[in-house]
Amino acid sequence: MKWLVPLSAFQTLLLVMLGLHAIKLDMRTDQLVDSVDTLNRDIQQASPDTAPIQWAAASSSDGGLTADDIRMIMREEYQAIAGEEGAATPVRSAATSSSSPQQPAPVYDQRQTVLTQSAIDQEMERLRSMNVVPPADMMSLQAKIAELPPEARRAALIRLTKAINSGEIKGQF
Amino acid sequence: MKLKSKILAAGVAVALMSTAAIAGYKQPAPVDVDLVNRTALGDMVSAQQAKDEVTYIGCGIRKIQTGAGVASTGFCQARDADEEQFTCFTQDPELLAATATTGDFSFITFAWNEDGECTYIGVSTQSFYLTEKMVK
Repeated sequence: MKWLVPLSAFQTLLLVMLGLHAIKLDMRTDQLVDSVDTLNRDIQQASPDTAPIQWAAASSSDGGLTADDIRMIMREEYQAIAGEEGAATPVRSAATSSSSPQQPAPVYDQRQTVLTQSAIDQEMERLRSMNVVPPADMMSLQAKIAELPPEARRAALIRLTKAINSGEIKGQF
Repeated sequence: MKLKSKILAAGVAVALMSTAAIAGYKQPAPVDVDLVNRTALGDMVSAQQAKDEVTYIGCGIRKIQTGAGVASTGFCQARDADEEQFTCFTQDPELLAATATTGDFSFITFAWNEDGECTYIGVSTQSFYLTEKMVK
């Protein structure tokens, strides 16, 4: 019984010490969190300036970049970007169309187109008058049609197909 | 001698019958052109072996070099025993590719729009389109 009082006093003392230690640890944790936040802010503020600092260092060691140097660098960058786009384009064009958008659109002479259309009309009239159209004549007509611009070619093929299907032209494609 | 010939003929006949019996599944598709629904179908073998002189079916492609590049035109055409016939054409790259897949023993089906442009081209090459006559 006589040990109980000193023992409880010792326990209380230990508890008080433990509490103080816990408070101390808590304060240190807060300090650490604050310092991490500060460091993050410093890094964020410092990073936008990093490239110019490096660039300035490089330029000062080379004696400075001229306007021509900068133009050349920009040109190289543009070419690199254009190269990447060019590499991706054929995949798209193959999926959508037979003609590549990279290639310039073929130029058709309007006067020549009119002449070709006229020749096709005359040829179709001639074939209409034949009992049986030989394959060579059909091939010749198709070669003329192929010379037309896409829309005119489509129109001519529609006319030819209708003539074949109606029996006006007795030939095969 | 006569008896021997008969036995030989019977033997050959039995041999041919047995060959036909193990020749596999057959599903000939005679050519049919439906002008109302704008469709045609049939297999090349049935068309070629039709008991008339009018039936045909097939697809083709023309690639012609011009001053503005290569112009490609594909076409499919068919005529059935009733002499109903149709030819459609296409300049569509995907359908052009389909015309190029036809084989000697293919089943072909195609459809078209009011302008006579092909809107559908189907090609299938299967053993069951080969006739007994070809397998023997």
